[in-house]
Amino acid sequence: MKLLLILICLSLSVSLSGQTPSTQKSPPLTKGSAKSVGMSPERLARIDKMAESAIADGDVPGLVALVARDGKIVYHKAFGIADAEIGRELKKDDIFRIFSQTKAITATAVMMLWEEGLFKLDDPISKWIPEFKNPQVLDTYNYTAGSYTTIPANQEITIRHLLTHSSGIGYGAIDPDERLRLIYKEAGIIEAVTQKHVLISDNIKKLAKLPLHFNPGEKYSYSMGLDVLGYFVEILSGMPLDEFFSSRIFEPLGMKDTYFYLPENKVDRLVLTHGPKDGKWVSYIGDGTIDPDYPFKGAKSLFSGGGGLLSTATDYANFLQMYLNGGELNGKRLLTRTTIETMMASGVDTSPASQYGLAFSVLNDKGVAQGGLGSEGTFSWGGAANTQYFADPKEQIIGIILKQTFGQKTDDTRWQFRQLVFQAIDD
Amino acid sequence: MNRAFLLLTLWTLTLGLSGQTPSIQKSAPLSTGSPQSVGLSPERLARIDTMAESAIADNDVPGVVALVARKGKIVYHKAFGLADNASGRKMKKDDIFRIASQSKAITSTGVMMLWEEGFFKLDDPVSKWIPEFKNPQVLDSYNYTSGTYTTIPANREITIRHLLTHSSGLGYGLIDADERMKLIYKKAGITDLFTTEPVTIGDSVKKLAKLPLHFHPGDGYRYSEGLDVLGYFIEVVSGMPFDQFLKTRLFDPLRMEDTGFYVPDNKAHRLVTVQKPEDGKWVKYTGVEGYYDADYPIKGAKAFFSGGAGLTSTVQDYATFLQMYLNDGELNGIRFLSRTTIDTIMSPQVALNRETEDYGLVFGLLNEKGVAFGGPGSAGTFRWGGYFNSQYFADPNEQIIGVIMKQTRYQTTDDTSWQFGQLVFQAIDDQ
Repeated sequence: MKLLLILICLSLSVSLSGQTPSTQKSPPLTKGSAKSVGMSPERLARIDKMAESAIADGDVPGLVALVARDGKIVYHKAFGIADAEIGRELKKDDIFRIFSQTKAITATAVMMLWEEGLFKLDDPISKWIPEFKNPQVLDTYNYTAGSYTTIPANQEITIRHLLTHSSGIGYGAIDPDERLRLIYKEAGIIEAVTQKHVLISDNIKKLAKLPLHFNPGEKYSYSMGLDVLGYFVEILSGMPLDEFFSSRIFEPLGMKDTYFYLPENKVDRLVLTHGPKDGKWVSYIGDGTIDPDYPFKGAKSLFSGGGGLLSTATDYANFLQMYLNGGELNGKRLLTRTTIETMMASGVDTSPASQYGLAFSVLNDKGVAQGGLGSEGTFSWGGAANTQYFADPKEQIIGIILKQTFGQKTDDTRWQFRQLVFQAIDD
Repeated sequence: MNRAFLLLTLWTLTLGLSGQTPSIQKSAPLSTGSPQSVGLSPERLARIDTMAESAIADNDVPGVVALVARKGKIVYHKAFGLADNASGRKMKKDDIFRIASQSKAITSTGVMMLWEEGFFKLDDPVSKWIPEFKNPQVLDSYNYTSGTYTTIPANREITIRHLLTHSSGLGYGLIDADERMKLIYKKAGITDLFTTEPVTIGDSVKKLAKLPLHFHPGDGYRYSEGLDVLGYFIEVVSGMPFDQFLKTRLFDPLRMEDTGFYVPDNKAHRLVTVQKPEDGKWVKYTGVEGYYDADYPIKGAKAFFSGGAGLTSTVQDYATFLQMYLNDGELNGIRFLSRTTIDTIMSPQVALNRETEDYGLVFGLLNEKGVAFGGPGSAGTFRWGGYFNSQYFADPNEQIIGVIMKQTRYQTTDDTSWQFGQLVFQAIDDQ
């Protein structure tokens, strides 16, 4: 009886709160002069040149870039076109498919619930999604029959494994292992987006039964772990993921243009996904499987925590600013500083200079020697449609560059932007 | 015409065309100050006088110019001995020296300025700009009789980072310790250091690109012509002759008026003669037969801009260059490099073959072990020197610069190379 009462109280507090008021009150990002925050306007202007020449060279059709320091937006510009089909010019507040930039938002939601004491990071996911019981690792695959054999995994998948892409779960169409690609396709797994009526719960329960790359915890392999956790957030919070995001993250952070699916009145701000064809930019549909219209057409029912969101440079910068503020923005505390320390400290190695923490890739002490990546502790990620971001807690700098392309061969802005932002420091 | 307006116009023009940018900071150029005002003891600095005088009396060196600066103030700047023993010309404080490998840090700085403009990544292959470097080969066997050799394909391409850090596997011809490499470079007609012939850096580097490497790129540290390659790389990336690039982007804005590849006629009398000891006397050193004439700064074609060894300079000009680094990339209100870029430059990149020092992207870097061994300087002190017996160091922690220039070959005993560093740091007299 007592336990039940506690449980009820706990769920009450969860549904009512989530973000809490803070004694801090950091303002949302506002415009400021470069010089006022120790940046050189002449050096920031190198970003103009980069963007103009990337567009002239046919590397990208257009881009929006944003740089903020000490809570001030010191650079926010749009270049080129948003839609090659109709020749619409790109605007600063245009809306992009951010794909994997969704992951950090889902991970934030998970950690907010963790802060409420609802689970431990090393709890098995099967406690909430029983389909994950008795995980299996892929052993052999028969290409003719499409059948496979498995061996039992030596441990269960935990929340931490899912956050850090070390669960052994695959990534369907973008998996490096062809066998996993075929198995996911056969099972009808949706990697991120669809116009069909699919629920996150359907997708994840199917996924839970598929074989793993390796034993959970063995190593890093980019995965649908954050999709699983999107469903996990639904279960713990009792809310659909879109509602959880909007009420607990987007609304308190003032991210007014971030959605899984666009409202009617914002569809005209959506940037087209482009691909190169015969030296021109056209609407990209891949081999016919890529759907450019899902953000405003179809069932709008799948909430992919790994890749489903649409957003703007300003919205995403505000999300990152909350992290640079130690978990608070607008007087709302989403996470505490100690939780953020945990998120940035633990992780799995992904390269000699970085590791994947609980929400982001984090630059380690070897990262500074690499050059142009920021200070130790700089966290970053990007999205499949060619979007990138980074934030440096030591320098209090945020950089976001959003493009909307697939299949372009060369796009130096991916690394140039970051290099150009850090060289603009003049203090 | 209003002179200030003219200056301003020129200023803006320069900026529009170039890489250095104005800065919010405005550090003054180096100026003279008293040792006490910056926490140095004049009595202890005077030990440098004693050092120089006895080195000259002992025939260790014919002459010396030494400079010490702290916190932007020059507190010691003196000349001793002779600049040319044959004519008896006295050494002067502003005399011009062949700084040889001290050119490397200047070339590397040029590379990092272009890197800041986003032209390339440090780990890009150099073959992207100099296609002759495609398909590098590593030396396998060498036949001394025929002068022929065999190679094996390198397992990776040479990157900009490899070239900056002497880890490309490239050799150094005349001064390469591996005789096979010396012979291969000679036979290929590589210009290793200096020349009076009408050779360009592009000619030499394109030939060099085809020669075998010591080892697979990235597999080790070996002092090399990597900075010569990067001098040409700067020409390709910037579209400017290398001498013009350095003049407009570094020397003019830093006001290093006496630094360049070749000494103009009106300054030729300030060039110090290279000397060597012979029968207890100092005589003119003429160069290396078949390689170079030591009068190269004032003689011949003056066409070769060696990023590894070609520059001539003065102690004060070089101290100014180092002060820009101590100011985190800014001097005279002009930003040459961002603080964050300097952090990367000062991060150890490769281990040197001495455990007290690492090599960053531009300089040798004293490490913690180096401090325990007696310095010179704090951890992070950056330093290097030149082939004609010149040395420098700068300590970001103490904000101290030391530059000592001599101009000799074959000096068997010259303790000033290490004494100077020791004497500069013992002169610190603050809390």
